[in-house]
Amino acid sequence: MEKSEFLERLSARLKDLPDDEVQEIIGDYEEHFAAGVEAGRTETAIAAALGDPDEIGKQLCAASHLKTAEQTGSFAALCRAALATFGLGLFNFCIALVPIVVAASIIFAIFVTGVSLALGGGVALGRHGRALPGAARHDCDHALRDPACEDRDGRRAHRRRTAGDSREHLPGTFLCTGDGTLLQDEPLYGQEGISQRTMILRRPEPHNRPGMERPAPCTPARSVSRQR
Amino acid sequence: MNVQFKKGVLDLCVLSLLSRKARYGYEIVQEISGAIEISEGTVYPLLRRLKNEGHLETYLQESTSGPPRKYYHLTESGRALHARLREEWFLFVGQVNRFLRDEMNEPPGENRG
Repeated sequence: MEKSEFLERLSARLKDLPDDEVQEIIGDYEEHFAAGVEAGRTETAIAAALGDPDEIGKQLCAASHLKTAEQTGSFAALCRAALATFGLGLFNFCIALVPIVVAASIIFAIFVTGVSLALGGGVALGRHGRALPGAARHDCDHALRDPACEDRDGRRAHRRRTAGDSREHLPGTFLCTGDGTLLQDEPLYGQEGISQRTMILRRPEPHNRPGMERPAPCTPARSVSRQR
Repeated sequence: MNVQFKKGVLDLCVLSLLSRKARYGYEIVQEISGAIEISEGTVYPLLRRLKNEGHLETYLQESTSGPPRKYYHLTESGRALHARLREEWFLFVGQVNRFLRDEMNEPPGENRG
């Protein structure tokens, strides 16, 4: 095999990669051929020692896709990486499995967090880090007006909002637990209001609402704290 | 030699080579393939990976003849990785050697302990 055939077969394998990356890779092998010829070897001998350009191309593709998947956290990129790695044979796949699984679990965790926050379950943890049962999205659009809806510093929920916020007077959907404890003292607007927040909920004090099965929503709001 | 052995130690060999001085691609490939029998083309993907992971950096330097060459040298993180892998290697080889020596000392067909 001549240098030209080697490089052609290699670049054919790299067609999915970004152009600058392909150029860099081809440049590396061109430099290798040049240095080899300078050292007195023939192009054919150099190509033979380099090995199968298809194999090398597959390896480079898999590595590049995996890098993209890790950097972007994109699920499609991860699938490409997994497929590209499969092409290397089982042993290589097993080696690459560790980073793939790590990347996959990160993406999956982000996905699950997003979905659960969107559904309103929130990340509801008790003061001691226990998950509170029954956290659910709860409509309580009176909360802005309800004097009981104060945060733990005693400020009313609506006073926390900045003046000039065009959303200030809209009725809000608040995130509450099943027993009516307010999880978040700002109304939720679609998903954006909750997607980036981890809410830490203090357990209601036992004497607050003894025997309440379905208390009025959002009271007592004193048991609310939040961490941004 | 067993392919799986080689894959594991290739990183360490490249790091060890570059810990002594910066080298260009062809030089690295020749040094490695002189010591271990490999497809020379597989060294470049490895160099790219180590570079992407921040263990290597490259710079171009004019050569006495022909186009400029890409030189590879270790970063701080590359030096740290080299030190760690080197230590792990000697520990591992020591354990395997001890294991194999035990086997040799054991009279065949008998079970100690």
